[in-house]
Amino acid sequence: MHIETLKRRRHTISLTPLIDVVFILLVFFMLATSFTDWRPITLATGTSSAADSEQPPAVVRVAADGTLRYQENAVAPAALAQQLAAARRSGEISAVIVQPADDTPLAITVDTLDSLSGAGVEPLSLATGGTP
Amino acid sequence: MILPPPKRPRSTEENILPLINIVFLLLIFFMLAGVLAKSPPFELTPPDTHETGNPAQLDNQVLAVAADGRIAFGGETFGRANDNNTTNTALTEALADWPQDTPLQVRADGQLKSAELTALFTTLRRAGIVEIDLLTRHREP
Repeated sequence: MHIETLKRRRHTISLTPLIDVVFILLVFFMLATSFTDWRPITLATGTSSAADSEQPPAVVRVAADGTLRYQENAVAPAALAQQLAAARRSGEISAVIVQPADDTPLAITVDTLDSLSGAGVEPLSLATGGTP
Repeated sequence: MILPPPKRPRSTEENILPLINIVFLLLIFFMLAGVLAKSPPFELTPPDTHETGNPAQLDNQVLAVAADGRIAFGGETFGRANDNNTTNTALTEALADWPQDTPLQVRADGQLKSAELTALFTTLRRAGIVEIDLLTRHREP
């Protein structure tokens, strides 16, 4: 009679299925995760409350080619940002409204908002009434 | 002459253990470091910013707007905001239970025309959204 000995080597669980699953999970997470650094710009959908202030808001017009106009003069973005930041600090203006023309792409409008917010101009709002 | 007994060849499982370790580490890295985000049903290139601060995480529900003004929200695709009232009604219904004090995150294409954005803002205002967070991608200047 053949008797199995207890001393037989312990049979370990096979690792292969585990590795398969882990590989699939790894590929899923690699494809599904995004590492984009999102920065939100908060905008009001309606008229902002800054209009109630005594001081008038500054209106910056953005043409479709990226030209900025403030008080009917074409201005460079960096110079405008500094000018508006100074005016905002001294209290001459209560807010800055960025008014893009109807065919201005969002990227160009956002460039303007970005350079203004980078110079510390706030509150910023986006005029969504089209070109008057 | 006494020869040592032949070594039991190492099993393949033992050989791939270091590989499994690395794969596990990579898996844990991607699980923790990345953000799982639902991508919108159309191609869109968000605008870039350099100086805007305050990084933010994507919300579970993000309103996506394609370059031609098509809107997607919560897995549903809507038409353009200024097309007709069906879109506006459907979007208003979809946004009905959005909390008033939370800004809605909007992922819009950089080529979206301002007129379309105006129409979108009007629709959102009617739907009771007071503030939006326009999502931009951070780029080093």
